[in-house]
Amino acid sequence: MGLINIIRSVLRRSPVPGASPLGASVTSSRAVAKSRLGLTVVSDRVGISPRLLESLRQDIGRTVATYADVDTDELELRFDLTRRNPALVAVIPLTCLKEQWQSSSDMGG
Amino acid sequence: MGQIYVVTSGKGGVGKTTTVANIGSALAMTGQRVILVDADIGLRNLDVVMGLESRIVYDIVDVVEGVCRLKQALVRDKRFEGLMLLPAAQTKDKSAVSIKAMRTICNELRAEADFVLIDCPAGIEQGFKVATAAADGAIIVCTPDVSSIRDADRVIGLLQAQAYERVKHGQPEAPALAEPMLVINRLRPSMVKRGDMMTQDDIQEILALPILGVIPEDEGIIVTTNRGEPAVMVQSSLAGTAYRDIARRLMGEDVPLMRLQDRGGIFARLRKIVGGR
Repeated sequence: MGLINIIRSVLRRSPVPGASPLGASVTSSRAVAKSRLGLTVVSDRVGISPRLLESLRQDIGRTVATYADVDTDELELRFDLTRRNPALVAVIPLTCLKEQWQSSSDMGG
Repeated sequence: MGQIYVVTSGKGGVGKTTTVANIGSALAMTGQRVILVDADIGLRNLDVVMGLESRIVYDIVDVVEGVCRLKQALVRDKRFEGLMLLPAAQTKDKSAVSIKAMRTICNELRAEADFVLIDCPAGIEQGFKVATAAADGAIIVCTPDVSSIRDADRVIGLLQAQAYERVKHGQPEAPALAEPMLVINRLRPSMVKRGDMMTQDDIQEILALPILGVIPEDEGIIVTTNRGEPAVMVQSSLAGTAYRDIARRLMGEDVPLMRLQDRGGIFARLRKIVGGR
């Protein structure tokens, strides 16, 4: 569970991490080390580079933004490591649905 | 039947050998029978750290090659009743001891000791595989820096894979290998206090392992190592105390972790004088 918090804090505001989960100051080198390490360790375990992860995050944001109003800065990617095969989970905060989204779902129905 | 622990880290220079020497000595001080195995073939160091370098006659490769019997290669430490060292060879390379040979040696040692501690070479290649092959459990040493913790995580993954493989091949389960214990070495409370060093909680959060002990940075370690005397022999040594606590935990005692961040301040010293905590 701990790692997920670290990754969340890293992926929300890259490249400079925000306040750490334990409340250390934004500038403390300890918080920077912890964030960088949390992401590195997970990408080592899963086999995805942090750079690829960030570009994936941006691509998902762009794609979803064509369907709905989303806060791409707040979009977070994380790993569910509780499974045997780790799952990538994206949490995408929607501000409000665009009209196109509703009309496209009408077309599908 | 003794327990076999491998002390490993991935990264070099984090204090594996010092940790083996001190935990081993501390265990022996409480009356346990302990055998230390230096598995760093070609780069042996446990002998000098223990101050036993002048007493070596045979080494582990001599045992493997049948030059001597296992008992002849064991160096008895005269300072601690029940502590012995099986030295590594200095001239051979890592291929001189196979996984099978290591298992045979360790199982023989297990019958003679309460604890067998294996000093693993740095890296994750053949030497690591040999050193970990016979272990029931693992102790991971890391320092509070990004490279050491990253390497520790990698090693933990390899140990878990090995524990899984063993079960797959019908060998006994090794839960203490799948979930190693963590020793955090060279923590500097003053740096932690000003937010410039990761805390033990940070490291535990990342590696998700139980903490066996936290060793404060201590110049005294350099002095005691210079003399070939483990720090646990010095009662006043902070690092020595942390290692003695680890030994008690390994024997199943519930010893709380030192609160290093509180140490050194005037109030901490006052509390100590008054006798409270």
